[in-house]
Amino acid sequence: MRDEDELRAAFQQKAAEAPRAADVLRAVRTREASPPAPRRRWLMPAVAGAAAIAVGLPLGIALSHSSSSEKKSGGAAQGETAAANGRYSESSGAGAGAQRNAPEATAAQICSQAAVTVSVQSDTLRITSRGAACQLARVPSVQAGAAPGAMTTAPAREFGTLLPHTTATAPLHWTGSCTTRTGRVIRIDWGAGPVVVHAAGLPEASCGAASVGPFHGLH
Amino acid sequence: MTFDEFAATRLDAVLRFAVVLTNDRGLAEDVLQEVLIRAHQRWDQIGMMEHPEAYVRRMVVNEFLSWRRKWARYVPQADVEPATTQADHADAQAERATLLAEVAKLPRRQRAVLVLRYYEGLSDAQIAEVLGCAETTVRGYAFRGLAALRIELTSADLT
Repeated sequence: MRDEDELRAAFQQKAAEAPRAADVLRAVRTREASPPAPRRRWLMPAVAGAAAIAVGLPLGIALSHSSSSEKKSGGAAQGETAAANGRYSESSGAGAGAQRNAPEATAAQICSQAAVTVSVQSDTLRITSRGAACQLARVPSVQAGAAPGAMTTAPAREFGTLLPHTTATAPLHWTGSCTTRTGRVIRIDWGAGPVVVHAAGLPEASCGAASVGPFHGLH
Repeated sequence: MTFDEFAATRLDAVLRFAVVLTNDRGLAEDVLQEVLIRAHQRWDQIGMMEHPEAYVRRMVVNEFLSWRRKWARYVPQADVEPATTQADHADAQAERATLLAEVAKLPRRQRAVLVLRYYEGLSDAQIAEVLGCAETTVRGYAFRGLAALRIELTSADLT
Protein backbone atom coordinates (compact mmCIF):
# COMPACT_ATOMS: atom_id res chain seq x y z
CA MET A 1 0.00 0.00 0.00
CA ARG A 2 1.03 3.57 -0.68
CA ASP A 3 0.31 6.60 1.40
CA GLU A 4 -1.04 10.01 0.54
CA ASP A 5 2.36 11.68 0.81
CA GLU A 6 3.57 9.63 -2.11
CA LEU A 7 0.69 10.98 -4.16
CA ARG A 8 1.53 14.54 -3.11
CA ALA A 9 5.16 14.00 -4.03
CA ALA A 10 4.21 12.56 -7.39
CA PHE A 11 2.04 15.57 -8.16
CA GLN A 12 4.82 17.93 -7.17
CA GLN A 13 7.20 16.06 -9.43
CA LYS A 14 4.73 16.36 -12.30
CA ALA A 15 4.21 20.05 -11.66
CA ALA A 16 7.92 20.62 -12.12
CA GLU A 17 7.54 19.55 -15.73
CA ALA A 18 5.33 22.53 -16.49
CA PRO A 19 6.53 24.79 -19.28
CA ARG A 20 6.99 28.50 -18.82
CA ALA A 21 3.75 30.38 -18.58
CA ALA A 22 5.19 33.07 -20.82
CA ASP A 23 5.23 30.61 -23.70
CA VAL A 24 1.57 29.80 -23.21
CA LEU A 25 0.73 33.46 -22.90
CA ARG A 26 2.58 34.22 -26.12
CA ALA A 27 0.60 31.54 -27.92
CA VAL A 28 -2.62 32.99 -26.56
CA ARG A 29 -1.66 36.47 -27.77
CA THR A 30 -0.84 35.09 -31.20
CA ARG A 31 -4.17 33.29 -31.46
CA GLU A 32 -6.03 36.36 -30.33
CA ALA A 33 -4.24 38.53 -32.86
CA SER A 34 -4.92 36.21 -35.78
CA PRO A 35 -8.41 36.27 -37.26
CA PRO A 36 -10.51 33.32 -36.23
CA ALA A 37 -10.33 30.56 -38.80
CA PRO A 38 -13.68 29.56 -40.18
CA ARG A 39 -14.21 26.24 -38.52
CA ARG A 40 -16.63 24.77 -41.00
CA ARG A 41 -15.39 25.94 -44.33
CA TRP A 42 -16.56 22.70 -45.88
CA LEU A 43 -20.07 23.06 -44.54
CA MET A 44 -21.53 25.52 -47.03
CA PRO A 45 -20.41 23.69 -50.20
CA ALA A 46 -21.57 20.42 -48.70
CA VAL A 47 -24.99 21.81 -47.83
CA ALA A 48 -25.31 23.48 -51.22
CA GLY A 49 -24.37 20.26 -52.98
CA ALA A 50 -26.79 18.19 -50.95
CA ALA A 51 -29.57 20.68 -51.59
CA ALA A 52 -28.85 20.69 -55.31
CA ILE A 53 -29.00 16.90 -55.40
CA ALA A 54 -32.13 16.78 -53.26
CA VAL A 55 -33.95 19.23 -55.53
CA GLY A 56 -32.37 18.52 -58.88
CA LEU A 57 -32.50 14.76 -58.95
CA PRO A 58 -36.26 14.30 -58.48
CA LEU A 59 -36.89 17.28 -60.74
CA GLY A 60 -34.69 15.81 -63.43
CA ILE A 61 -36.39 12.45 -63.19
CA ALA A 62 -39.82 14.05 -63.34
CA LEU A 63 -38.88 16.19 -66.32
CA SER A 64 -37.33 13.23 -68.05
CA HIS A 65 -40.52 11.20 -67.67
CA SER A 66 -42.65 14.13 -68.70
CA SER A 67 -40.51 14.75 -71.74
CA SER A 68 -40.49 11.16 -72.87
CA SER A 69 -44.25 10.87 -72.35
CA GLU A 70 -44.88 13.99 -74.43
CA LYS A 71 -42.57 12.82 -77.14
CA LYS A 72 -44.22 9.46 -77.12
CA SER A 73 -47.72 10.87 -77.40
CA GLY A 74 -46.81 13.66 -79.77
CA GLY A 75 -44.70 11.60 -82.05
CA ALA A 76 -46.33 8.24 -81.74
CA ALA A 77 -47.61 8.17 -85.26
CA GLN A 78 -44.32 9.44 -86.59
CA GLY A 79 -42.39 6.87 -84.60
CA GLU A 80 -44.59 4.06 -85.73
CA THR A 81 -44.26 5.18 -89.28
CA ALA A 82 -40.51 5.37 -88.94
CA ALA A 83 -40.41 1.91 -87.44
CA ALA A 84 -42.59 0.60 -90.17
CA ASN A 85 -40.25 2.06 -92.72
CA GLY A 86 -37.40 0.21 -91.06
CA ARG A 87 -35.37 3.24 -90.10
CA TYR A 88 -34.35 4.45 -86.71
CA SER A 89 -35.22 7.96 -85.66
CA GLU A 90 -32.38 9.95 -84.09
CA SER A 91 -33.84 13.33 -84.61
CA SER A 92 -33.00 15.04 -81.36
CA GLY A 93 -29.75 13.93 -79.78
CA ALA A 94 -30.08 13.13 -76.12
CA GLY A 95 -33.84 13.27 -76.32
CA ALA A 96 -33.79 10.57 -78.86
CA GLY A 97 -31.54 8.52 -76.62
CA ALA A 98 -34.01 8.86 -73.80
CA GLN A 99 -36.85 7.87 -76.06
CA ARG A 100 -34.92 4.87 -77.22
CA ASN A 101 -35.36 3.27 -73.79
CA ALA A 102 -38.76 2.10 -72.72
CA PRO A 103 -40.16 4.57 -70.20
CA GLU A 104 -40.33 3.23 -66.68
CA ALA A 105 -42.63 4.67 -64.06
CA THR A 106 -41.61 5.38 -60.51
CA ALA A 107 -43.65 3.86 -57.71
CA ALA A 108 -45.27 7.21 -57.03
CA GLN A 109 -46.54 7.51 -60.59
CA ILE A 110 -48.05 4.06 -60.96
CA CYS A 111 -51.81 3.98 -60.56
CA SER A 112 -52.76 2.86 -57.09
CA GLN A 113 -55.74 0.61 -56.60
CA ALA A 114 -57.65 3.50 -55.08
CA ALA A 115 -57.00 5.76 -58.04
CA VAL A 116 -58.70 3.55 -60.59
CA THR A 117 -61.77 1.43 -61.13
CA VAL A 118 -61.03 -2.07 -62.38
CA SER A 119 -63.48 -4.40 -64.01
CA VAL A 120 -63.27 -7.62 -65.96
CA GLN A 121 -66.07 -8.42 -68.30
CA SER A 122 -65.67 -11.80 -69.96
CA ASP A 123 -62.77 -11.13 -72.29
CA THR A 124 -62.02 -7.49 -71.57
CA LEU A 125 -60.08 -5.85 -68.77
CA ARG A 126 -61.07 -2.22 -68.12
CA ILE A 127 -59.25 0.24 -65.93
CA THR A 128 -60.73 3.71 -65.52
CA SER A 129 -58.99 6.63 -63.88
CA ARG A 130 -60.97 8.26 -61.09
CA GLY A 131 -59.25 11.59 -61.38
CA ALA A 132 -55.54 12.08 -61.61
CA ALA A 133 -53.39 10.84 -64.43
CA CYS A 134 -51.21 7.88 -63.53
CA GLN A 135 -49.16 5.12 -65.12
CA LEU A 136 -50.08 1.57 -66.08
CA ALA A 137 -47.92 -1.17 -67.45
CA ARG A 138 -48.68 -1.33 -71.14
CA VAL A 139 -49.01 -5.10 -70.80
CA PRO A 140 -50.39 -6.12 -67.40
CA SER A 141 -50.16 -9.49 -65.76
CA VAL A 142 -53.35 -11.43 -65.22
CA GLN A 143 -54.06 -14.66 -63.40
CA ALA A 144 -57.38 -16.36 -62.89
CA GLY A 145 -58.27 -17.48 -59.40
CA ALA A 146 -57.30 -15.97 -56.08
CA ALA A 147 -54.49 -18.39 -55.44
CA PRO A 148 -51.80 -16.90 -53.22
CA GLY A 149 -48.24 -16.55 -54.37
CA ALA A 150 -46.50 -14.63 -57.03
CA MET A 151 -48.05 -13.93 -60.37
CA THR A 152 -46.86 -16.30 -62.99
CA THR A 153 -45.73 -13.41 -65.15
CA ALA A 154 -44.64 -9.92 -64.24
CA PRO A 155 -46.16 -6.89 -65.89
CA ALA A 156 -44.18 -5.32 -68.68
CA ARG A 157 -41.73 -2.65 -67.60
CA GLU A 158 -42.93 -0.22 -70.20
CA PHE A 159 -45.59 2.11 -68.87
CA GLY A 160 -48.21 4.31 -70.39
CA THR A 161 -50.19 7.17 -68.96
CA LEU A 162 -53.83 6.79 -68.11
CA LEU A 163 -55.30 10.24 -68.47
CA PRO A 164 -57.88 11.53 -65.98
CA HIS A 165 -61.35 10.01 -66.37
CA THR A 166 -60.36 7.85 -69.29
CA THR A 167 -60.53 4.10 -69.63
CA ALA A 168 -57.87 1.71 -70.83
CA THR A 169 -58.93 -1.68 -72.08
CA ALA A 170 -56.97 -4.84 -72.64
CA PRO A 171 -58.16 -8.04 -74.31
CA LEU A 172 -58.14 -11.24 -72.30
CA HIS A 173 -57.54 -14.65 -73.86
CA TRP A 174 -58.28 -17.60 -71.65
CA THR A 175 -55.94 -20.45 -72.24
CA GLY A 176 -56.75 -22.68 -69.31
CA SER A 177 -58.21 -26.09 -69.87
CA CYS A 178 -59.91 -26.63 -66.56
CA THR A 179 -63.11 -28.51 -66.53
CA THR A 180 -64.44 -26.98 -63.34
CA ARG A 181 -65.25 -23.45 -62.54
CA THR A 182 -62.99 -21.95 -59.86
CA GLY A 183 -64.81 -18.76 -59.11
CA ARG A 184 -65.10 -15.32 -60.52
CA VAL A 185 -61.88 -13.96 -59.16
CA ILE A 186 -58.95 -12.60 -61.13
CA ARG A 187 -55.64 -11.21 -59.97
CA ILE A 188 -54.32 -8.34 -62.01
CA ASP A 189 -50.99 -6.56 -61.74
CA TRP A 190 -50.37 -3.41 -63.75
CA GLY A 191 -47.21 -2.51 -61.83
CA ALA A 192 -48.66 -1.69 -58.43
CA GLY A 193 -48.84 -5.26 -57.20
CA PRO A 194 -51.55 -7.89 -57.57
CA VAL A 195 -55.12 -6.63 -57.28
CA VAL A 196 -57.99 -9.07 -56.81
CA VAL A 197 -61.00 -8.35 -59.03
CA HIS A 198 -64.34 -10.09 -59.05
CA ALA A 199 -65.12 -10.66 -62.66
CA ALA A 200 -68.41 -10.99 -64.43
CA GLY A 201 -69.23 -13.28 -67.30
CA LEU A 202 -66.16 -15.43 -66.87
CA PRO A 203 -66.01 -18.48 -69.12
CA GLU A 204 -66.44 -21.88 -67.59
CA ALA A 205 -62.89 -22.99 -68.09
CA SER A 206 -61.31 -20.10 -66.32
CA CYS A 207 -59.10 -21.58 -63.64
CA GLY A 208 -55.99 -21.71 -65.71
CA ALA A 209 -53.72 -19.03 -67.04
CA ALA A 210 -54.89 -16.22 -69.17
CA SER A 211 -52.95 -14.18 -71.61
CA VAL A 212 -53.61 -10.53 -71.91
CA GLY A 213 -52.98 -8.12 -74.69
CA PRO A 214 -51.61 -4.61 -74.37
CA PHE A 215 -53.77 -1.81 -73.08
CA HIS A 216 -55.56 0.42 -75.48
CA GLY A 217 -56.24 3.95 -74.42
CA LEU A 218 -52.91 4.71 -72.73
CA HIS A 219 -50.78 7.66 -73.71
CA MET B 1 -6.37 42.71 -10.99
CA THR B 2 -5.72 43.14 -14.68
CA PHE B 3 -5.18 40.23 -17.02
CA ASP B 4 -1.52 41.11 -17.37
CA GLU B 5 -1.08 41.20 -13.62
CA PHE B 6 -2.76 37.85 -13.36
CA ALA B 7 -0.57 36.42 -16.09
CA ALA B 8 2.57 37.75 -14.45
CA THR B 9 1.83 36.54 -10.95
CA ARG B 10 -0.58 33.62 -11.11
CA LEU B 11 -0.29 31.97 -14.48
CA ASP B 12 2.68 29.78 -13.57
CA ALA B 13 0.74 28.22 -10.73
CA VAL B 14 -2.31 27.64 -12.91
CA LEU B 15 -0.15 26.09 -15.59
CA ARG B 16 1.48 23.73 -13.11
CA PHE B 17 -1.96 22.75 -11.90
CA ALA B 18 -3.03 22.09 -15.47
CA VAL B 19 0.00 19.89 -16.08
CA VAL B 20 -0.72 17.83 -12.97
CA LEU B 21 -4.39 17.60 -13.83
CA THR B 22 -3.92 16.51 -17.42
CA ASN B 23 -0.73 14.58 -16.77
CA ASP B 24 0.42 15.84 -20.15
CA ARG B 25 2.43 18.97 -20.75
CA GLY B 26 1.22 19.58 -24.29
CA LEU B 27 -2.40 19.01 -23.43
CA ALA B 28 -2.06 21.27 -20.41
CA GLU B 29 -0.88 24.05 -22.70
CA ASP B 30 -3.79 23.46 -25.08
CA VAL B 31 -6.33 23.43 -22.27
CA LEU B 32 -4.89 26.54 -20.70
CA GLN B 33 -4.80 28.38 -24.01
CA GLU B 34 -8.47 27.72 -24.57
CA VAL B 35 -9.25 28.86 -21.05
CA LEU B 36 -7.13 31.99 -21.24
CA ILE B 37 -8.66 33.08 -24.53
CA ARG B 38 -12.13 32.81 -23.04
CA ALA B 39 -11.06 34.37 -19.78
CA HIS B 40 -9.39 37.28 -21.52
CA GLN B 41 -12.58 38.05 -23.43
CA ARG B 42 -14.46 38.62 -20.20
CA TRP B 43 -11.71 39.62 -17.89
CA ASP B 44 -13.71 42.68 -16.92
CA GLN B 45 -15.85 40.43 -14.78
CA ILE B 46 -13.22 37.88 -13.78
CA GLY B 47 -10.75 40.56 -12.73
CA MET B 48 -13.29 42.01 -10.34
CA MET B 49 -13.59 38.74 -8.46
CA GLU B 50 -11.96 38.20 -5.11
CA HIS B 51 -9.99 35.19 -6.34
CA PRO B 52 -9.56 35.29 -10.11
CA GLU B 53 -7.07 32.46 -9.90
CA ALA B 54 -9.64 30.18 -8.33
CA TYR B 55 -12.09 31.02 -11.08
CA VAL B 56 -9.53 30.35 -13.82
CA ARG B 57 -8.55 27.11 -12.14
CA ARG B 58 -12.20 26.13 -12.14
CA MET B 59 -12.35 26.93 -15.83
CA VAL B 60 -9.34 24.68 -16.37
CA VAL B 61 -11.03 21.83 -14.55
CA ASN B 62 -14.23 22.26 -16.54
CA GLU B 63 -12.31 22.45 -19.80
CA PHE B 64 -10.43 19.31 -18.86
CA LEU B 65 -13.63 17.47 -17.95
CA SER B 66 -15.55 18.54 -21.03
CA TRP B 67 -12.83 18.26 -23.62
CA ARG B 68 -14.02 14.83 -24.58
CA ARG B 69 -13.15 14.40 -28.21
CA LYS B 70 -9.78 16.03 -28.14
CA TRP B 71 -9.02 14.40 -24.87
CA ALA B 72 -9.77 10.97 -26.26
CA ARG B 73 -6.90 11.44 -28.68
CA TYR B 74 -4.46 12.60 -26.08
CA VAL B 75 -5.23 10.48 -23.08
CA PRO B 76 -2.17 8.45 -22.22
CA GLN B 77 -2.83 4.76 -22.38
CA ALA B 78 0.17 3.55 -20.49
CA ASP B 79 0.09 -0.05 -19.50
CA VAL B 80 1.30 -0.08 -15.97
CA GLU B 81 2.51 -3.24 -14.41
CA PRO B 82 0.89 -3.91 -11.06
CA ALA B 83 3.10 -2.79 -8.24
CA THR B 84 4.89 -5.61 -6.56
CA THR B 85 4.96 -6.01 -2.83
CA GLN B 86 8.68 -5.45 -2.89
CA ALA B 87 8.83 -2.07 -4.55
CA ASP B 88 12.15 -0.51 -5.25
CA HIS B 89 12.05 2.35 -2.75
CA ALA B 90 15.50 3.48 -3.77
CA ASP B 91 14.15 4.70 -7.06
CA ALA B 92 11.50 7.06 -5.74
CA GLN B 93 11.28 8.96 -8.96
CA ALA B 94 10.40 5.84 -10.92
CA GLU B 95 7.80 4.92 -8.35
CA ARG B 96 6.25 8.37 -8.66
CA ALA B 97 6.19 8.05 -12.42
CA THR B 98 4.41 4.75 -12.03
CA LEU B 99 1.94 6.31 -9.64
CA LEU B 100 1.29 9.19 -12.04
CA ALA B 101 0.67 6.75 -14.86
CA GLU B 102 -1.89 5.00 -12.71
CA VAL B 103 -3.49 8.33 -11.86
CA ALA B 104 -3.74 9.06 -15.58
CA LYS B 105 -5.84 5.93 -16.00
CA LEU B 106 -8.42 7.01 -13.47
CA PRO B 107 -11.73 8.52 -14.61
CA ARG B 108 -11.27 12.24 -15.08
CA ARG B 109 -13.48 13.34 -12.22
CA GLN B 110 -11.68 11.06 -9.80
CA ARG B 111 -8.41 12.41 -11.07
CA ALA B 112 -9.59 15.99 -10.70
CA VAL B 113 -10.64 15.36 -7.13
CA LEU B 114 -7.29 13.85 -6.22
CA VAL B 115 -5.34 16.69 -7.84
CA LEU B 116 -7.48 19.34 -6.21
CA ARG B 117 -7.15 17.63 -2.85
CA TYR B 118 -3.51 16.53 -2.83
CA TYR B 119 -1.89 19.09 -5.11
CA GLU B 120 -3.97 22.20 -4.55
CA GLY B 121 -4.79 21.29 -0.98
CA LEU B 122 -8.46 22.17 -1.26
CA SER B 123 -11.04 20.93 1.19
CA ASP B 124 -13.84 18.67 0.05
CA ALA B 125 -16.24 21.61 0.25
CA GLN B 126 -14.03 23.70 -2.02
CA ILE B 127 -13.62 20.79 -4.43
CA ALA B 128 -17.37 20.33 -4.48
CA GLU B 129 -17.75 23.98 -5.42
CA VAL B 130 -15.20 23.70 -8.21
CA LEU B 131 -16.80 20.57 -9.64
CA GLY B 132 -20.36 21.66 -8.96
CA CYS B 133 -21.31 18.58 -6.98
CA ALA B 134 -21.99 17.53 -3.39
CA GLU B 135 -19.28 16.96 -0.82
CA THR B 136 -20.36 13.36 -0.45
CA THR B 137 -19.85 12.91 -4.16
CA VAL B 138 -16.36 14.34 -3.84
CA ARG B 139 -15.58 11.93 -1.04
CA GLY B 140 -16.90 9.07 -3.15
CA TYR B 141 -14.65 10.03 -6.06
CA ALA B 142 -11.68 10.34 -3.74
CA PHE B 143 -12.38 7.03 -2.05
CA ARG B 144 -12.62 5.15 -5.33
CA GLY B 145 -9.60 6.90 -6.79
CA LEU B 146 -7.44 6.19 -3.79
CA ALA B 147 -8.61 2.59 -3.69
CA ALA B 148 -7.66 2.15 -7.33
CA LEU B 149 -4.24 3.56 -6.60
CA ARG B 150 -3.89 1.40 -3.49
CA ILE B 151 -3.30 4.44 -1.35
CA GLU B 152 -3.97 4.17 2.33
CA LEU B 153 -5.79 7.05 3.90
CA THR B 154 -3.88 8.66 6.73
CA SER B 155 -5.85 11.88 7.11
CA ALA B 156 -8.65 11.41 9.59
CA ASP B 157 -10.90 14.07 8.10
CA LEU B 158 -10.94 12.65 4.62
CA THR B 159 -13.13 9.64 5.12
